[in-house]
Amino acid sequence: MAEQLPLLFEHKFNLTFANFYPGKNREIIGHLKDCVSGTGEQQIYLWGNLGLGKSHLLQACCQLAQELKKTTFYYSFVADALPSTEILSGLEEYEVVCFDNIDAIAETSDWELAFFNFYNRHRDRGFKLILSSNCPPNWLTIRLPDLKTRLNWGLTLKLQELSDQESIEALAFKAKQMGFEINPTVGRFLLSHYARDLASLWRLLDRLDHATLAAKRKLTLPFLKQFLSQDESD
Amino acid sequence: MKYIINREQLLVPLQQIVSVIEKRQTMPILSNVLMVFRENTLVMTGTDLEVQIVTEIAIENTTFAEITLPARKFLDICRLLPTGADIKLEVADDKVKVLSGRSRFILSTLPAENYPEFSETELDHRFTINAGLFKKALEKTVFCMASQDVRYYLNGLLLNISNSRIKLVASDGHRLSVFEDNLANPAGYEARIILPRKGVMELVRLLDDPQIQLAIEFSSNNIRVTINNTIFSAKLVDAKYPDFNRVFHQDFLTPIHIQRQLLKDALTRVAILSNEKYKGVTFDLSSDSLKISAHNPEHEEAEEEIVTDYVGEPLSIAFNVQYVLDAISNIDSEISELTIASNSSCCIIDEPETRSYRFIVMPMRL
Repeated sequence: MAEQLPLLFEHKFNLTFANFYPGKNREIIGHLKDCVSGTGEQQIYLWGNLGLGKSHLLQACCQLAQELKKTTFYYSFVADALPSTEILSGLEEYEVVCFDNIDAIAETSDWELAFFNFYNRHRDRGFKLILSSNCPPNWLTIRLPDLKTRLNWGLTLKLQELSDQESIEALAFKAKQMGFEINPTVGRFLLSHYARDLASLWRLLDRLDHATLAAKRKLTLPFLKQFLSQDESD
Repeated sequence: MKYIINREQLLVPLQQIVSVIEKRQTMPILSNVLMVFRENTLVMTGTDLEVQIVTEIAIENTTFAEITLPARKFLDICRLLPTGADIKLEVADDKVKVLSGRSRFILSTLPAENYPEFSETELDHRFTINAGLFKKALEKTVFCMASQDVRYYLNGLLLNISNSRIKLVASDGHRLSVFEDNLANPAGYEARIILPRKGVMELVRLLDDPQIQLAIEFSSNNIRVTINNTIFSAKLVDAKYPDFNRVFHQDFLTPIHIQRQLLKDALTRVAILSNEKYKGVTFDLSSDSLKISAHNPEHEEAEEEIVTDYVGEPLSIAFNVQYVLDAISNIDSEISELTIASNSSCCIIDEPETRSYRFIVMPMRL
């Protein structure tokens, strides 16, 4: 069958608190905002499953810090592809520092030590540190005992899973920012027939955007069923 | 109160105003044209609350009055009266008498104080541009806008001002057009707004004098264009235009050059036998030759061959013929230039030299 290919539009969103679907995590957002603006905790350790929005929240912290004219730094660690520990030099002078996937530095002795030293210098200055990970601090496989203790010092917050209803709302919220609509029927169908985890659902959203653009169709239930069945056969 | 206006003075402004007025209205008064008589001027307004046109015409010394008249009926009457006729309006209570020669009409009015105000925020950005250039920019882009897409940004036109550069972009998701040029007077800021489809269409119609200088003012919610005695206002599309530049950042084959008319004629003929729904045609490129072919579900076939300057490996790519034709028809030069991405993921159609506008057509999988 003939198929028109669509243009590849990229939605470059600033990841802010305003475009984060809060669900049950409203309180966490409050803590993060307080921390960045200077009234809250000095250190926040945020953990939770893939797709819940840890990176989004950390970047939102940086956006807020910039609005408040604070110096800020964000870095996302990737296990097996750690940068040189040099990136930490001078970082203690930054008022708000966010490290995504801090679990990735565990069991790498030079990184554990370098991070421990940075941690102390940064903390002495009274600046804010926000970390994210897929597990609570006690479960980290960090070998340096002093570092592990320190990661427990601040406020540890667990991002809550969204209920089915909230996941549907979150999908519709994100789709709206991309310019199209996901009605509740379509949302429910996706959750019951496609995937329940947000990480897979976010990935699907881009592909649905392209598919509806190519077909110049609304995302209706019949369209979605056709898309998913073609997807399986491909 | 009596007013005399010449038909020729009234006709064009009235036509422009009626064009923004929707045929079906939720508020009856929006079918009317607001007419405000002041000393030596008549100000007429028409709106659908999204787009508004206000135009001022000079008339001989008058007393103050505000009325609203059924716009389409009033236009039809003026239009069908003889050229050069004087039209006399007599205002009395809730009726207006329209008299001209031996013709007599009585139109009903609605109170002018109920005419809705067009809400506008403070217009904090401003630039000036030659009307001819702006009209050309609009004409080279509007045909790519979507009309009823769920994505609001596609049913509009991106206007991007970067100090001394102006850029207009429109796309329906299958093709895209970009117009870029310099502003004679640098604007001193960077801004991106999306004009709504209807407003753009009306604006193109208003720009009939290529010589004049336009003052364009806008905020994040509204735009206002002043064209001589006419003020065009529109609410902007509340959305963010996505980034489309990735399409340019890839490897392209050496451009091929084809006589524009030759290509247009060949495409038009081949299109006859393309699938009515998908309109797909195949371009087969081989050294020095472009073969364009189509077939339909009735197994009928069309084929045209054009000599080109293509050098390279044989290549096959398919397009919706209408998209290619629209782009080719908007090329001003005799020669059209087609630049296909190395991985056949898109085709850029433009003029060989000037490059103030470019059209991108995405391919089809047949």
